[in-house]
Amino acid sequence: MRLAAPVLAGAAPLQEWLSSMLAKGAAAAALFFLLLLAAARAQSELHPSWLQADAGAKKVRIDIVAGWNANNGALNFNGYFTGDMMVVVPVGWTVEVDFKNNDAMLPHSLLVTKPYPPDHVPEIAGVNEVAIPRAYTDNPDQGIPAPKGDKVSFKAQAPGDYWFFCGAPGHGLGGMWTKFKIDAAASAPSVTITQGAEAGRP
Amino acid sequence: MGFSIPATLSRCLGLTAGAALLSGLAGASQAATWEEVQKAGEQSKNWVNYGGDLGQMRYWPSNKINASNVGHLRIKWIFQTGVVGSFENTPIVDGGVMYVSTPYDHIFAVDAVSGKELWHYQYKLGKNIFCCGPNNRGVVVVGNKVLFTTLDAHIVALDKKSGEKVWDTEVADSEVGYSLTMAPAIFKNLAIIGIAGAEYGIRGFISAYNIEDGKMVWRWHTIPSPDETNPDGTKGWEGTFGTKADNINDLHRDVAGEKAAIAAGKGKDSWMRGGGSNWTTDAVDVSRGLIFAAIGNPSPDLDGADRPGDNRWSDSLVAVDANTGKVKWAYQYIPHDVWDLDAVSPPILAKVKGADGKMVDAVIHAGKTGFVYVHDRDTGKLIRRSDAMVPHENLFALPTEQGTRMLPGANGGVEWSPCAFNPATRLDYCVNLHQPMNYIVKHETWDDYRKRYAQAPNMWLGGAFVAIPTEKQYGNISAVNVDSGKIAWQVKTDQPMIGGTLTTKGDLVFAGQGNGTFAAYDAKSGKALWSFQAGAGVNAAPMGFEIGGKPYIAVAAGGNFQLNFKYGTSVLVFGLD
Repeated sequence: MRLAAPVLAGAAPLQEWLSSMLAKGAAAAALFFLLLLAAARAQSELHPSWLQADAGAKKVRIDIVAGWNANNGALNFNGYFTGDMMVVVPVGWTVEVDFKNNDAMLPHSLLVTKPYPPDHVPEIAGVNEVAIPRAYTDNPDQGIPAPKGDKVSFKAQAPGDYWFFCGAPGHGLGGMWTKFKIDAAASAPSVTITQGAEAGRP
Repeated sequence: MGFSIPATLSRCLGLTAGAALLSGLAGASQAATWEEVQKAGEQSKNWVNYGGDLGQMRYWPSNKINASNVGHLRIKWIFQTGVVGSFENTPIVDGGVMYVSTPYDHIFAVDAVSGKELWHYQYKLGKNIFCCGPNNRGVVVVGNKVLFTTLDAHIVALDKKSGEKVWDTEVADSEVGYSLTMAPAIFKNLAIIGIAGAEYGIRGFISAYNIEDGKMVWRWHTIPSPDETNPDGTKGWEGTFGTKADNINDLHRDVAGEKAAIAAGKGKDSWMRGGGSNWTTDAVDVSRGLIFAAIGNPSPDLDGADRPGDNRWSDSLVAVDANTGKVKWAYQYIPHDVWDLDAVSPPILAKVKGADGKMVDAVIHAGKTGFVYVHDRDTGKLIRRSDAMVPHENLFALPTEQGTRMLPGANGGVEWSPCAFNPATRLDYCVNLHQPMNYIVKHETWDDYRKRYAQAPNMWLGGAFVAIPTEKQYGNISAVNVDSGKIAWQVKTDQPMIGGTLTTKGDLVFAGQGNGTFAAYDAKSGKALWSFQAGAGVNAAPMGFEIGGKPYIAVAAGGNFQLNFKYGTSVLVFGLD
């Protein structure tokens, strides 16, 4: 039996081990691990210029451009969309988002929302959908026109999974969301990009 | 109001359709008869069509409000719809009742004297996928019905008195990107509508529905199939490889490359997803039995690589037989468009000075290009093209991966905003945008797009439009002489303008701005005569009506999604002290 596993950066030894386990007949255990791997899309870490961390002050500044490039009909944050980017921040850090809209055709916003199941992504999102106090740009359900922007500052307190989400009508539903995680185990902010994602802001 | 059967109506209606229509009208106490709909432009009491008269001049034939008294215009009542979104509606007034549509397809009937709500119908939306806001531009009243279209691509008829639904017809599958935002046009017993969705790879069309039962009578696809013969004898959507816009401006096409691509079989199915929306209300010429429609951009907007050829009849003005749906003529402004420069502002029917100086029946259209075009109504031939209403720079330079700065921007010129034509001043009044932007192309095949769409329904632009932060955006109201093509006057505004105009027999022009200003101008000079601060973006075309001999001006003030003008939910009605 041959199973397809996603390519994972730095995971080659693990895959070799799994193959070895298969060869030795430990099929059940190996299969379990392979399924775990297949269930998760592979990630690669990014060290972007648009994220600057100050460990001493426990503060991270994130520059996010809506419509950074033409990916996803310009419905993207720094070129990423549909969860292809994940920003991780340690608990207790202050997050400052410098948001700008680059899309000359449509207004955009950024809210931190809860993650939504695929069939429950809201068509429009406003203040009521914000999951972390004050974590939203001006007029989140209407957006901000290009070339304007807004600054957002909030405290990363409750560990968990969140989304960066554009609340303008139809935009989040159209894939204009990326992942945001507050991680109790993390010691520094990080960014990971789903392997195979269209190229975004480096 | 009594109802009689006009002899002309009896003749022009088919027996079955006519009987059905007439039976439907018989019980109506305030019926906007077909006769009234036809003569809408000859009276100032009611405003029964989206554009005023069927030819959409947006000329209100009342001089009761004029330069001498417009300063006394005061707010009479405000109706709050309570529905927040992009408010692009032109109210309809018939028999003392105002009908208003809102974002997300709510319909209200309001007492036009007091502003009191009579009924409210909330359409229950299915899946709706739209590029540019939850818009609805208006309803139309005919007989005892109110007709409107929906974001999820339905056409619906309500009982005019009760607001109860009479019928509801699905026009197209909204799951794949079809949507509707326009007010229907009326011809005899037919409600005629186009379709929107060219940002999602739809194939555009115009359809006619029987007003009585909602059944489709005909459909004409704006993008011809390969075996479909065009008025000029060619077949399909590839055309004749025009290299210039209006035989004037170089489009910088690689015609040899396009022909080689076609020979290699590239894009042979592209017509099936070729775009070509008709997303604003069509003009109706009753005596000719024709409608005139503005057709929008091809799909994908910015990338022409997989759609070699002219991409007919995107970016075109077309004349279609209103009885049968057969196209009579078509004029393509921009063959093989890669800038999203739709033809979209509603066409206007008027008499215009021809090339030989004689007055001819014409159809007028204002483009995103910033030109006003004047065509012979019988042939489609371009009689003249106006001076540019907005700056043109690097015109029709091709989009690149790095971005190409080109003016005008992709919103215009004139976007969906209806212009208004005043037969006395000979001027066509249009609102314009100036939005400098870079055009970026990014190739994405149809198959790749559909995979992306399956994950999250989104646009197939083939690129992006990128703002230029260092360059100021602004707008203007332009008054263009249709007999000469010269600009008579312009009023520059701080913000890009979207919404539309009204002109009157009192020699006035009314228009709103995104900053909440609603103003009246002298139709001959452009001098500002009166203004009102609405507190929200006034981004809709105004209208006029009379009740008990008193004149009123009405306009929606609820902002605009695409240009991000401040939301509100008001319909403002003004009268004289």
